[in-house]
Amino acid sequence: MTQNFQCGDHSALVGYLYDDCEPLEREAIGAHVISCPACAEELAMLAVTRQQLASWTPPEAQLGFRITPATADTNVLAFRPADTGSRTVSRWRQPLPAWAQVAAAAVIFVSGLAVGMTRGEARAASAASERLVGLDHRIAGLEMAQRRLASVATAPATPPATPPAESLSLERVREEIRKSEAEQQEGFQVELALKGVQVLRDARTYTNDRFERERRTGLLLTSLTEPKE
Amino acid sequence: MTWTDEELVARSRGGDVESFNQLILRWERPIYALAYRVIGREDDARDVCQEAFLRAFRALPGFKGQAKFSSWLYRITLNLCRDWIRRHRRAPVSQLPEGADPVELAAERGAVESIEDLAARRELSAAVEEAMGLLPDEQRTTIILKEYHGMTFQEIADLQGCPLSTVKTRLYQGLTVLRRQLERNGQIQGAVVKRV
Repeated sequence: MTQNFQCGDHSALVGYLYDDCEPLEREAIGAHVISCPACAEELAMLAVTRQQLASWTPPEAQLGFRITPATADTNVLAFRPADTGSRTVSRWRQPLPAWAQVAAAAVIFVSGLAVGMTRGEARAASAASERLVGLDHRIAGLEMAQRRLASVATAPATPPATPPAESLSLERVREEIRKSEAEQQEGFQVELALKGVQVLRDARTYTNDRFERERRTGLLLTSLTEPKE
Repeated sequence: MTWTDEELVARSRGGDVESFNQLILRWERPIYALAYRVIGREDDARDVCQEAFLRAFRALPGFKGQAKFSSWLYRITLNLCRDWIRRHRRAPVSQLPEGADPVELAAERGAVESIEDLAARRELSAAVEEAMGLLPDEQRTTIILKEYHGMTFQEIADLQGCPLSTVKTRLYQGLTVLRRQLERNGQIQGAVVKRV
């Protein structure tokens, strides 16, 4: 091998880097690198790259291959049983048995179903409750209006002021007409309010019944889907 | 008593299956590491490893000892890796096992390192693996055989069936590409020699 290293001979530098070259060549390259910044930098960068390569390690794997005597005649390689091997495998790498996978899937399914039903039931209960509160408020308001109208209808008429003689008859006629119209209007409003109260009461009854039916259905489904002890 | 590879091979050829099992035990880790680094997939690397030993066992009667047993085994493994790459028609990829936690993985490898060191090493390891995946097959295999398996240039040349100078050139070119790639990823800073 030549003792004269030519500057820029990368193959020779690689040999020097891995210490896989003849002693004389190594000596020549070493002498050159001391005086050549370019080759020294090249060599340093290659060395740094090698250092980085050292960080790459393959993941641990369960190996333990073994030719079992029983299968030697047929040239079959078999895995060594795990309990006789010295290496262990992380639990997350071990596959779940089939029964465990099925059980996990069932648990997830039932949990999802139960959560869905619970949410649906809660939503229905909440909505029904809100509806009932609204109905109660409206019924209370209507009942108050009903009482006020009833008291107005039964209150004694205010005595009229004494009008001038010439306009008395005309004014009395107009008053009678207004009173008549007001009584008709009040009667109509009272009747309307009473009907409204009845409608709202019917609605509340219907809502209560429906809510109760939904609650019973939810309970039934829950009991059906709960795992048996 | 510790037998040499040659002695175990001779005993295996004489029908001693346990001797071959000792060879498996001795070489399965390096063979698996070689397969993993070449093809980049854990499960497939394990399959290749198993297949390599199976082929070696079957071909043992024809192995005359003209090369070292390990070199012969490496050749079988590399041929299987080449077949795998050809079948999949793509470069090897970095792959973290499904569901694996990198922190847990790193923790398994050494409890004395700090979390920061573990994270940095994981990051660097991933960067190296990714950069290696970008290399042409010949350059990548040359670097793996030299860097991780300590083969001589001549052994690599014999294994790859190419001149010794080609091995050095592949190694230099591969390392240069890796260096640039790692610089790009921030794993190596340029002009190291100026700071040394």
